[in-house]
Amino acid sequence: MEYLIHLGILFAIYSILGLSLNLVVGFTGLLSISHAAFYGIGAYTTAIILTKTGLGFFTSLILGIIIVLIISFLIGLVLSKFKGDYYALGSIGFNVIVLSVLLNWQDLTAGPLGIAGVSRPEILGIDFSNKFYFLILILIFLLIFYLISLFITKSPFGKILKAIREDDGAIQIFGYNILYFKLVIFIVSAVMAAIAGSFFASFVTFIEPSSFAVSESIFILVVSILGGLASLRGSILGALFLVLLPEILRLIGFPVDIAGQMRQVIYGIILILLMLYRPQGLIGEYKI
Amino acid sequence: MDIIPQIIINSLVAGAIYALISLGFNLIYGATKFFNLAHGIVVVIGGYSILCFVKFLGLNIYLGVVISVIISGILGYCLDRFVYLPLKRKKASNMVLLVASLGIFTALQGIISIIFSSQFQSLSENSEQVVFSFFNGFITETQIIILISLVLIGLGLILLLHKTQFGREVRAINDDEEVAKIIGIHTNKIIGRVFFIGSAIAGYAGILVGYDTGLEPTMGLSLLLKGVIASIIGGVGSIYGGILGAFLLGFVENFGILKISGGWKDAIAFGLLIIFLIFRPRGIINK
Amino acid sequence: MKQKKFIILAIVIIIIVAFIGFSFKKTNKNYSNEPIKIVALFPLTGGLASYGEPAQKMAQIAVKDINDAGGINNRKLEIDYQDHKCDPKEATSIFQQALDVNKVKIFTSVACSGTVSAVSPLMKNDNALLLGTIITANKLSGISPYVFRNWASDKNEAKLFADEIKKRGYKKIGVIYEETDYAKGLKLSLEEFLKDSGIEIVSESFVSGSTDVRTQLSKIKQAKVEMLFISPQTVTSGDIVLKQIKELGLNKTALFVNDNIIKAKDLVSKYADVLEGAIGGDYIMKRDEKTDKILAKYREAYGVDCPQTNICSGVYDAINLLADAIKSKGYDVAGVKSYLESVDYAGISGQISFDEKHDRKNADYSLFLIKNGKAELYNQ
Repeated sequence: MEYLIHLGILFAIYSILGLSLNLVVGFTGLLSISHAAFYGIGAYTTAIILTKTGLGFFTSLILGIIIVLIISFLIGLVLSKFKGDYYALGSIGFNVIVLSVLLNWQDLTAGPLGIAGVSRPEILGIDFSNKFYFLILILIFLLIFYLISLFITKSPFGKILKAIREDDGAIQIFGYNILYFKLVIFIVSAVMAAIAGSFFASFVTFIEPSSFAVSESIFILVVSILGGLASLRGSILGALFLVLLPEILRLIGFPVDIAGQMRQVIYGIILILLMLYRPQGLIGEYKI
Repeated sequence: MDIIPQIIINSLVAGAIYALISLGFNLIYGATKFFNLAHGIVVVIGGYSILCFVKFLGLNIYLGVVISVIISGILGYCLDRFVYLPLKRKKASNMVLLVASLGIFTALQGIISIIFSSQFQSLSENSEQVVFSFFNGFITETQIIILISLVLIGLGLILLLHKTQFGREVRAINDDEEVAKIIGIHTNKIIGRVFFIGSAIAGYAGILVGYDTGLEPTMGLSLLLKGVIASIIGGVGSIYGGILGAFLLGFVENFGILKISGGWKDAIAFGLLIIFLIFRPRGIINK
Repeated sequence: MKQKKFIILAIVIIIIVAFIGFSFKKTNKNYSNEPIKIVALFPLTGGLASYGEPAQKMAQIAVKDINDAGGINNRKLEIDYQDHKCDPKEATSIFQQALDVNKVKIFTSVACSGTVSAVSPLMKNDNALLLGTIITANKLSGISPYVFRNWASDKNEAKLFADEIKKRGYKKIGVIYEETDYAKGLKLSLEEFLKDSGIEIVSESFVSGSTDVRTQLSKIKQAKVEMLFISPQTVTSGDIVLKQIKELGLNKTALFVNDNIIKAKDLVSKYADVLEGAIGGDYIMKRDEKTDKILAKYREAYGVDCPQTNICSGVYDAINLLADAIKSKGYDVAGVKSYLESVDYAGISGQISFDEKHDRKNADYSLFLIKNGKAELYNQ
């Protein structure tokens, strides 16, 4: 049972991440491979605040939101000048730069030594060290984000995003400032990723920069694409599948030491097969 | 400041490696117009092939190099034939090809990790390395081979592209694939060969890196990204551009960390990329 | 189109249900004749597998000896060997899994101080205890009331180095270290001991997994230091550093090496020329006929001698200590903790007791000199 709760928390974290990336890639058509950076900033903000100050989890969430708001605004601004595959490469670049900051600003982050002992939240007297409560808390957030995403995508704002995805030249002619739209959705998505990061830090209690490298961004991309781009339920499905996959492998009896690498092989094959035969993912509606 | 000669040598060697990677990458980009991220893992496979043949099977090193290079080339060819070509037939966009190449990269990297374990492997047997000294800077035999290889391969490629029929056809495809098809060029066949050559060069680069620093299954992404940065800042698709970009990158990286911690190397490299993407997206050559 | 979506959804739900079904089968039952479980966090793969492998082999012999003699109050001792790969992240997730899912409370570990500092904040309210062997970082002294160290703190090693440096009259030294708790910790301790000596220290670092430290070495070379202290975390990174020291022509500089290098006999002989005259530090344990008798069992079982006798005897003692503690006080953290705090145990590695910071008492480092590819005790 404990084990299921553990998996449930991971599922919730990756669902939020998948949702956030889907907003940018699936709905707006911007191939961003940088979300691990915001995930990491959220995680580090919470880790630093919880271990070095007396402030609480929710304070760290708010601080994380503010920091990511600013950073994603700047990054989004620069990225919006790029197109298609250049956008992807530029986003990788920003991921690497943020990672370098996490690695090298050692006074703040302890660099590669990582930050240990990040505690679980405590609000209104409820101690979320109990994993079950933690799971409930994060599921609540998942629900909130799902509803927010639903609202965005079904609104006129969302329709403009889809139009940008299909043909941003045309939509500009109609007088829409596409920069504004791209930026807003990028920032919203980054904030969601950051909050997922905060939960992650509290959950694993020890974080280090290598968890937020480009490979993690690629993994989040797989979650989004697998589930189905432009399908919110798809991201949830993708997260479910990809969190369960390593466990299924382990149950089948793959030796533990190659399980990690086997996962990579499978992710890669999933991507290839998806692109070849089902680019819209499991239940998506948009083929990139 | 007598550290300068050493930094210059470090920059030249780094630049040469990046240049070799970008040569293959640019060749493929020129013909296909998409970012083939699987290029990075071909580099790694080249290195591990030679590990197999020379260290584990005890083959003569020259033979090992030839076989490894051919294996890399064939791998690239197969990727085109079995993944990219079918995708292009389905009118896949560049992003789809990029994601597919990402999938190939991830899957193959996992397989290499499983076969060879994630441990670092050194190709040089003993600690004996012939070392030469220039003005207080030290350069090893392997590093000299890297520099010479770049010159030879670069020249070879230029000759190939400008003095042969094959080269002409490749350049025609680079300019406009549709038109090339119309005038009767078998574009798929030519592109297949381009993949072979580009990947063979990549594999060779992997062998050199293996001898220079060593092998690790995860080194592909970093090398690939540097090669891509070199290509973009040089002017993507251009052979000369790639080489220029590569050396620029090598120098900026190594001189950049003279005063600050070495951990910022990657950030400097990508910072350079982003600056170019903003201000001069067509690269130094400005095609 | 809708049909396809439905089918996919249905398949996924079936997989989930099947999965949940499987998981419930794995519940942990706790009968009183079930074996007593200890989790061992060893570096079975990765750059320090040369420690983890003999540690595991020796631990298996210890377990067999204990069980042959009746086990722990007639229950069998069982060790669950886990690979921390010298990665604090890996160690944390193994630890949490063992704690939460498998309800294990007693842990033992080998090497990689970073892994211990990562899991120690998770031990509270008597929920877990760890007895570690060959964990040397100074910051582990007293890091948690639930962590015990069956080894010497390398603060002593740093002091010995500092004394030797001052004795030799060096005015400018270089340090190249790996960014880990252990390797960096040693450098920090050294700097602490050289604080008011007026000796200039040029330091450069590299991240775990780096394959190219040439720029760092070039900077050190430019600074024209009289001595270079090398502090890598693993044999692998030590290999890379030494190779590039040679390539850059730094091998004329006097070298000091940390205990991971001096223990790595293959590395020391491979770089015999570079390391000729180098000074290193290590903690040696007592060795007498009692020790030899147990070490002979290793040879008997595996056909080779234990390549790191200190680790083997240390681990053998650690397992026995934990078994005795559980026998005496039950599988209870508070009980085992109080037992260890007051124990005075005649182990095969010497007399073992712990000081108020839970470090092994009377454990001290010695200096070594490398000559002809071998390390020998250094008589100053």
